Amino acid sequence: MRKYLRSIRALVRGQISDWVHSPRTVIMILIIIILAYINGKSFEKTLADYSLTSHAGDALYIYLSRAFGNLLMISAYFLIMMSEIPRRIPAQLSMLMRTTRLKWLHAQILFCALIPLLMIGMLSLLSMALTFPYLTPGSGWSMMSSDPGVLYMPEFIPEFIRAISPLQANLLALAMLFAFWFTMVLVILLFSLAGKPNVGLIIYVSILMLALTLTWESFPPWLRAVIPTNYATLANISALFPGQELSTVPIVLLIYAAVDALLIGGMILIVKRMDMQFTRKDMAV
Amino acid sequence: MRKELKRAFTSPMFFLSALVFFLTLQGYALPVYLDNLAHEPLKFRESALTLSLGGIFFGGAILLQPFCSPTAHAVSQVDDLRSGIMRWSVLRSSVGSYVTRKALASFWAAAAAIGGAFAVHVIVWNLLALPYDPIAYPNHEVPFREDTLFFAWAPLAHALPIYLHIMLGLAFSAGVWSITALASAVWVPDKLLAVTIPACVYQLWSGGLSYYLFGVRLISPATLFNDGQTMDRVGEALLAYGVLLSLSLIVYYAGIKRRACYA
Repeated sequence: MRKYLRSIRALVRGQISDWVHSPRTVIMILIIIILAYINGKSFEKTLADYSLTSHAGDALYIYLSRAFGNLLMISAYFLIMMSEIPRRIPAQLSMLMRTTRLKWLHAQILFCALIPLLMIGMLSLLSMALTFPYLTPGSGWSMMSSDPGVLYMPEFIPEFIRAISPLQANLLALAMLFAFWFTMVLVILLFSLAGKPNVGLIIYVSILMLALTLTWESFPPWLRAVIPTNYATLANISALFPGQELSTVPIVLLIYAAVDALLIGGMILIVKRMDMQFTRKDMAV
Repeated sequence: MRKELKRAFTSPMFFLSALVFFLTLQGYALPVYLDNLAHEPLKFRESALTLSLGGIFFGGAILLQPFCSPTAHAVSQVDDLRSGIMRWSVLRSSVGSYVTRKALASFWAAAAAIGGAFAVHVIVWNLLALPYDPIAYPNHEVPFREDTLFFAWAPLAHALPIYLHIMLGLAFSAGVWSITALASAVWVPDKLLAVTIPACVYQLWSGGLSYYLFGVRLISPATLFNDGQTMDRVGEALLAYGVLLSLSLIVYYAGIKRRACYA
């Protein structure tokens, strides 16, 4: 087991090291950080405009449940950052020679799980660092206006979420966002392994762009219910299933788990049979 | 120049760019039209003007325009660099003439793809739906603000001046985004990044980065083809796009010169 973990760790480290040196990764991370900065500043302004008292748990929930204010664009840029997995580098062949195909696949899947987690962690830290000076010490839910003159304000923390603790709510919001991004990355990995690296990318770009361009209000509700982006964040789920939000979340997470298991199963079958070759795709001349 | 233009306008990427933008515009028009067709009598259906502009005002066409613009021709810069043809082209002419040729071809290709897609979209919806006529169909009335250009132009020729203005606005801004893509492609020769970087710049510009960093609010990058236009706002937007165009050309020129000297 120790030997297995050591080799997986070495493989993942190799992947990450190559990934962070890719121009796509560097540029897209920078853009995503700036988008999170804009969202953080805009949230600061909201807190000031409505004279809101916000605890750390409330602020983090608002960031996580709304995918840092820009689900579609951040997901699209994240997709571009992850567009080349497995990394097409000759080192992959050396890695394969020193390990087994299955271990190599495990490392790829672990890499796919680690990156969305790191991404969410980094964006949460950045957003919370920006909001920190405006937070009120305390636990439990807040987001109440301290100004009696404020007659209306948007519902930042919906009623159904106030029924659970901020920690539970944040974990749920984190799980939803992670599940969406992890599944997205797995789909790209599956198609890359199957020798069609652009298909996964095209599928997800289309999903994100359709969500952006189509006027969903004109479509029947059942059609809206099959759009993956509606299951990307807790805020989207609550908009789609009003009145049954908390009961829907576990079902959605289970469906994500089943889909991910199927994708991983497909990858195992492919990897056992595939002829592995890696030619560089995003190399800068 | 002629060869570059021929290459641009016969490339499958040019047609792909126009097709994707055309489909993006249908994101609002098609579902609303089908919904109207099923539930509303003719006189209460949305006019061709609303269906034509809905994709821009309410849909995602605005966000996808900077993605589609570089696809028309600017991404070919990456092929020029990878195949090595750029160096030979520069050797046979000069850095300045190569930059001019490439920039003009990319500008015109993006402008034609995006502007052309919008023109076809407008023609299709004017054929399918009732042209804008608020006198015969009061339901068509669009409440443009009184101090805007569109308020004065709406009653003229079924709103033809509005269509022309938006088409030109889309085409011009698409051209500028394609030059931004050239500037990014020459420094980072990656097609995906060449398409994405203009969209990122657009996103940061419209998201108000300058306001949060320096307290300066810039005019929206969508001003040239969005609602609420006045002569002053159009002038400001042209100035902002002019600055972006100049900066992009400088960065592009510097990139080509560097590659020609040291590649």
